[in-house]
Amino acid sequence: MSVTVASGIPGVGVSRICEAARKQLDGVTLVNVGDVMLEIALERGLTNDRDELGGLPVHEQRALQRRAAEDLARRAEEGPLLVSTHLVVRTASGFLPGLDHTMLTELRPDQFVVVDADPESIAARRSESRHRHYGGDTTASIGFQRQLQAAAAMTYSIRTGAPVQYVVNEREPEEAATELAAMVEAVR
Amino acid sequence: MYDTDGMRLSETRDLFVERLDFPAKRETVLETVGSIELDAPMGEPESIEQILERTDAAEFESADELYDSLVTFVGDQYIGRKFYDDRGSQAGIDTEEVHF
Repeated sequence: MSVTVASGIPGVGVSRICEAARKQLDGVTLVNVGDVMLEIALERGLTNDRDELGGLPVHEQRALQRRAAEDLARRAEEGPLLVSTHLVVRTASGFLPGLDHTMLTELRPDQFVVVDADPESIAARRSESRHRHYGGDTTASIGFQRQLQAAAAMTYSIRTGAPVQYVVNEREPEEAATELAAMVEAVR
Repeated sequence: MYDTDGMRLSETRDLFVERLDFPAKRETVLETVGSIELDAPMGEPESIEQILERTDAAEFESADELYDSLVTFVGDQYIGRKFYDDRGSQAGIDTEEVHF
């Protein structure tokens, strides 16, 4: 079954784009890696707060990511997946890859889709968010995170052979969602 | 498509996206998915309605907010002991050095 990994840096709107794309796709299951990690963290008594995942010790985060990847691999056997995640994660120690070798081996993605926007747009969306707390990144810092994401995407592509696609989320989210949905359909 | 007699917490994202439009009012959430039970790893399952009885939120702006509400307000049967690992023989994998 196919696995499309969609990613964007926090605030770009990748969750919303994935959700809108999923509504256009019959028979494709949307999974948010953060949801799975949070569920496992809860079961292990680590945290019930999504914003605290990045503050856990690195080895705990790695363990959660790997368990999540194993879980996703099992789900992928049941049907096509659209996986919403971050290719780069911010931790208390600095930025780290969101997917390591073990996770890529488990997931075996067919493609990576990077959802992107201008740093100014991302900063504005972060400041407007009522539910999530993003901290006070400058547009320069957001630009750095975009660079890390691009580097991570190509690194993962080299490791897996899966191509990297690019979707811009600057206009109506439904437009970007339609682009993403077409990419998911193309690999089913 | 869904096993509405019992599903995992992390499977609810797809359910919410398929059946709800956000922002979603509390009443709509309860009417649409409130009866669905969520498997509990350490006890009896709770329904989404039972879990949301512990919050007075009138509206959920996004699937993120609804999911996070479930995780925040689930009963003790969903919450494990800290540092417990059900795959003890493989626990060493968690202590590997991380390299960029």
